[in-house]
Amino acid sequence: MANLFELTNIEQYYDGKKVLNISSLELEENQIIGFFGPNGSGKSTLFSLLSFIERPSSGTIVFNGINSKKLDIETKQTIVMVPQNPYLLKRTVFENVAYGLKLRGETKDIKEKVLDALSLVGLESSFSERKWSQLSGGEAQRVHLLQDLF
Amino acid sequence: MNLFTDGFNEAIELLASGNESVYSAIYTTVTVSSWSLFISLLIGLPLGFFLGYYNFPGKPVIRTIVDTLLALPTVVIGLIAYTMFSRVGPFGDYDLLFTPQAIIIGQIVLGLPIIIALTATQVESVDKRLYISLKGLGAKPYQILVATLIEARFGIMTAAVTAYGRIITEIGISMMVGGNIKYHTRTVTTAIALETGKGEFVTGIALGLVLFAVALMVNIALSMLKRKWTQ
Repeated sequence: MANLFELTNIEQYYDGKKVLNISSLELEENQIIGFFGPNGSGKSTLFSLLSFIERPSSGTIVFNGINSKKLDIETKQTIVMVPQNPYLLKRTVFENVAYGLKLRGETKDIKEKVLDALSLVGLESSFSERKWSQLSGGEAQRVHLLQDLF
Repeated sequence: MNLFTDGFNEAIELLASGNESVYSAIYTTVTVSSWSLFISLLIGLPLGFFLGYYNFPGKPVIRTIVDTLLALPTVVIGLIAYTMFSRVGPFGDYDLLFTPQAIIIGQIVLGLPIIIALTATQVESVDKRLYISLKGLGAKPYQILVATLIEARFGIMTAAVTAYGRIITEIGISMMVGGNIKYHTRTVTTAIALETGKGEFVTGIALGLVLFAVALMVNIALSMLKRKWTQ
């Protein structure tokens, strides 16, 4: 099976302190993989690197055979990190979902797309005008998923 | 006490009578201050974002300088601007001295540190998950800037109100580089100084109340906007 990610000699520093050190890690495609470790062991840092939110201080990340430094923005946007506590923009549900689409340049028929997306995760169209502060934890998670993935 | 009640009554009379010189001073004050704030925001918001968002060598030094500039006396800004715009100054050829434009430039120097410092503080205090979320969505640096400023809009509005309050009530810059020319560069604050100098305390108080009313109207408009955004 082909490797989706290949990490070599990865080191990550925050304020001069080493928080991650991986000599070699290969992640195969079409797998569900779990990482576990104590607080501060570097799980979130690793996910930030894998989703290209951050660049490693040193080392190389190869995604689908391409060095991460040569990956285009569109490819990077296909990899998404879904945090435990998502952050929604202080806007309406519609604007939150539409924001992700706008960043990806998909602005055509945006209203229909957003309403379709909401129905996909079981949220009625009336939800689209709700403010970020009026959502439950589960609803916020679903809206965040749409913002990232749809 | 009579001074204040008389001042209040005269303020009403001055406004109701449509006194040309008073309305000219109000118009100059509001126009010049609004331009100053607008340009301060245009320059200050990106700089404040840069200062709050990025870590770079010398950042604490720049932060300290910006914070120190918050305490810059308006008369010192006026003095420096005067020397710059005077005939022998480096910008003497532009004939800016005793023009509203000169006041605007001086007031930008006054407002800019407020906008930069308060925006940087707002950007620093934004939930860090916002940046993770935006980077995860593939936002480019300018898109992160715009989204962050929109997220921090309530705090930035406070920064704008603070800067506007300082700009609209200053006198040192308006007096020194404006020259207090009637129907041209006379602002409400320079008019108050003039009237007080003439012994016309009641008119001075009346103009002070007018300035307070203008500031109150600006704040009411902004708080209505804030309420609309949060509801």
